[in-house]
Amino acid sequence: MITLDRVRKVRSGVTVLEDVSLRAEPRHVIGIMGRNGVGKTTLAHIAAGILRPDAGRIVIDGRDPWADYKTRRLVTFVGHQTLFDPMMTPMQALYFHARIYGVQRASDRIAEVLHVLDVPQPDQKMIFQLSAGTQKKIELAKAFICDSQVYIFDEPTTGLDTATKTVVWSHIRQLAARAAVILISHDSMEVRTLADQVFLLSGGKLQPIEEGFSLGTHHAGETTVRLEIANWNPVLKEELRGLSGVRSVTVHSQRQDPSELIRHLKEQGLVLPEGTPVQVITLDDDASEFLARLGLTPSQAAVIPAPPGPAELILTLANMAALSGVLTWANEKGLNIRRVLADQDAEVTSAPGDAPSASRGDLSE
Amino acid sequence: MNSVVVLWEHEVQSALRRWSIIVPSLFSGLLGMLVLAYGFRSFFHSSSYYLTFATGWISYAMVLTGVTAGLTATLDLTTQRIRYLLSLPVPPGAIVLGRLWGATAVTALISTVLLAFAEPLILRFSFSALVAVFAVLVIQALSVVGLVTALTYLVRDISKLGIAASIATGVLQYVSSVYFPPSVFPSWARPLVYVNPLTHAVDFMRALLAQSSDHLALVMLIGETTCLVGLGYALMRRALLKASD
Repeated sequence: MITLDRVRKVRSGVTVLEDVSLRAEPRHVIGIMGRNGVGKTTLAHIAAGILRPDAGRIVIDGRDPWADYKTRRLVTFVGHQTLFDPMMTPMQALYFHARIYGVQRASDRIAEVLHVLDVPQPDQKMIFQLSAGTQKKIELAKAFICDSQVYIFDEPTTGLDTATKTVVWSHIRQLAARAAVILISHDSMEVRTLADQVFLLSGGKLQPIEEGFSLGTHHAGETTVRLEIANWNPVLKEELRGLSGVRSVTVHSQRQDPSELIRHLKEQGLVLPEGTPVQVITLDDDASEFLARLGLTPSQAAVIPAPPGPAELILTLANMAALSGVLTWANEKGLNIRRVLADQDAEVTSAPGDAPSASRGDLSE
Repeated sequence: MNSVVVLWEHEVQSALRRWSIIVPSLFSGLLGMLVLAYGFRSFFHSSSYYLTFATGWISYAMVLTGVTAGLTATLDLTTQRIRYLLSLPVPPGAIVLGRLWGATAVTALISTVLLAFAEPLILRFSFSALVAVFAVLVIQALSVVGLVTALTYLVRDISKLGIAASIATGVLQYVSSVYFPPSVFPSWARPLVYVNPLTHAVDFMRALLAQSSDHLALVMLIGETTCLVGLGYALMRRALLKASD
């Protein structure tokens, strides 16, 4: 078991990780997604003991890997590119690695794993002479040779062909049957296929994506995401809609039903003849609906945004990677996201301004 | 097996596989030894000078290798290598020592091979003296590697490192007793000669050739080596830990 407790990391003056906490237990796969440069590899390196956190701590099986170096035997880190000495042959590199991790019958085990991963003649060429895909396989072989309690994979299948990807996924599943696995990937399909719990790293924080992932099933294409925001500001809607990968935005503020307002105004004897300038103090899509019910068009009304308040946003995204961009943007705007729910299988039917559907809550099912 | 032992074994084996460092140094050293054995022997009727020179040559022959191996041990630590080493279940200190052992092994190898060739051709050490000479050569190799490692981290600028390495090589070679005994040097230069670890290694070997012993030279060599290796170790360890920040 590995625990990251309130980990903070600043690199080149930029806070890459801020109070990141994570706990990976045996028979559990944690998926971490996020945009390029958001700090996923830094997080992986901290978990693997390569980088030291500026604050917070790492605990592996109850011990601090920076105080008790033997604890690192319990962790296998697989980088997105091989960290082995490029001047060694795969066999030499893996044999050394296996020995230092105390693997029994190392040669047989290496030969077996390299055969499965389809690495030909592992003792003929040096690592730098191999293709990028084969180098990746050599790096992956580390994980399948060592019997660790925690496995950290950083983009494990980038650059691999589909057949090898399937083999690797199958092996990761086997490892996850007994060990804790942290899987960092851009590939939402990979994360959905393998992870039990998914986090999005954005703005230095890990944002859990709740219950919305349907493991084992995947349909290419759009994704619907529901965000609950404590301090949504309606003026941000157009900006949000313009973000890369954002197909549509629907906002549901937790405010009074517009029909109630209309009824109330009518009761007060307020009748608005057509063409009357109206100033409506409102926030979001409800404003459009309110104006429409009054028979007015936006050109006839000045909309003054109200102060930020709680709202629920339904976003249609091109893919899950776009969510990372949204969360980073939200962080930059100081939005307090209380909850993120995603669902890959939900069809996107709502258009901007549509009323929330009754079944919206099922998106996460 | 203990992870640290596996790491050290690996570092030494990797260093000894660096033929690009070993072959040129061996070729140059052996050629020099052959010229000495046959050239000086026929030109000088007394054997004293070429015996004196041979011990200096055996000691000096490792310097170029030591500089190259020391530089390699440090410059070879790319970000990729450091990350891999830091992920291993060994403390940073053990990683540093592994690098130093590797560089020392390849450095000592050159002088040891030269010693093996010189023994039947020129020198006539007893077996016990040979063992002592081998031990002294290993200690000297450690001192050269320690010096170069420290120099690498002190200079840092790779373009200036070449200049620093050349100066260090020149000083180790000429401001020492490799070619002449310290008494030949002017009094102001003698302190520099005695700071040079090669002086003590060569003096120790020459004393053995003369069927005597120079314990002070050995003590001085061990003391200087401890300082140089300690400095190199501390600077490399600091660099390694900095890479983990």
